[in-house]
Amino acid sequence: MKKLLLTLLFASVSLFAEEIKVHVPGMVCQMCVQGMQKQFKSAVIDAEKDVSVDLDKKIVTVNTKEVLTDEDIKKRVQNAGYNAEKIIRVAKIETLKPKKLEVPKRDIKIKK
Amino acid sequence: MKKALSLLFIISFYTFSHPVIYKDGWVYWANLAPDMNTLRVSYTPHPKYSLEVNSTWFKNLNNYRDYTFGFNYLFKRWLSKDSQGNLYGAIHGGYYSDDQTDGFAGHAMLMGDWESRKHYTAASAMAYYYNDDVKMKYTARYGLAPYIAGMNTLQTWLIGQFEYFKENNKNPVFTPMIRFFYKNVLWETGANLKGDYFLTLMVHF
Repeated sequence: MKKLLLTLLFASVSLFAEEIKVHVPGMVCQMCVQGMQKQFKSAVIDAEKDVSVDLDKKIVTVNTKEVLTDEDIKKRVQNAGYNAEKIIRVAKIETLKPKKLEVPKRDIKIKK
Repeated sequence: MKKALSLLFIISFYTFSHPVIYKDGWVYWANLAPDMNTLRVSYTPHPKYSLEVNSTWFKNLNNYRDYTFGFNYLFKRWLSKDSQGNLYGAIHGGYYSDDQTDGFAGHAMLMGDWESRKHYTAASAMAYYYNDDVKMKYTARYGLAPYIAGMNTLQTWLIGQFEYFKENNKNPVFTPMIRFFYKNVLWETGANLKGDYFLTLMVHF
């Protein structure tokens, strides 16, 4: 039972991901988008999908694979050439999708 | 006169791009025209400065060719809600040769820009040194975006550029051009009133 609980605990930690929204004033072009994707690349699974930039609202949305500190987020934004004005965290736990069990087909011969 | 105009044209090519980008960013840049080309590679190790190697060839300046190494610095970036402004400086030095002479070549530049998603302006002053002679050049640009582009959509700019060259102040050159920017690729093409045309391609990673 103890082992099971520990296993479940570690499993839930490894599945933990976080969505962060960072308000970054002054972003105006594609170069800003590329810069943000490059700086958050190591914190996400796929930078193309997991880092998006809303140039209208000046918000960078990042789906991280791990929890980042505020200092880390600010540093990454600074390395892109900008300043993080406001950080909003939307914590979430990704749920496992049930997998279909596939039973291998076997030829069964019934002996008469 | 022709040399002065040509030199003006060639220098204007590599003046207007962001000399410093994001940390660990690489820029590959090529300007191509029938009588000139410029190749640049820059690396930004820190969001305040970048290192650059540059080679330029110009047919009408006695086959002038230089190879320079440069240091570009972002003095200041102003960020407001919907726009940004930047002030850059650059110093490049290296070797040049043409059909008659060779020796040290150096460039020094001061450049400022301001842009929103609709408007783009830039101005620069550049000193260009080779063969014991210094030439000063002043350039200004204005660009208008016909539509507002979002992330990963094609960004288009219609740009007009004015250039004033010390040796040629009575004949400033106006060059209309069009710039496209999609993801990490920028390309630009235009022609001045003399019919000199060019193509610029920039890729950054």
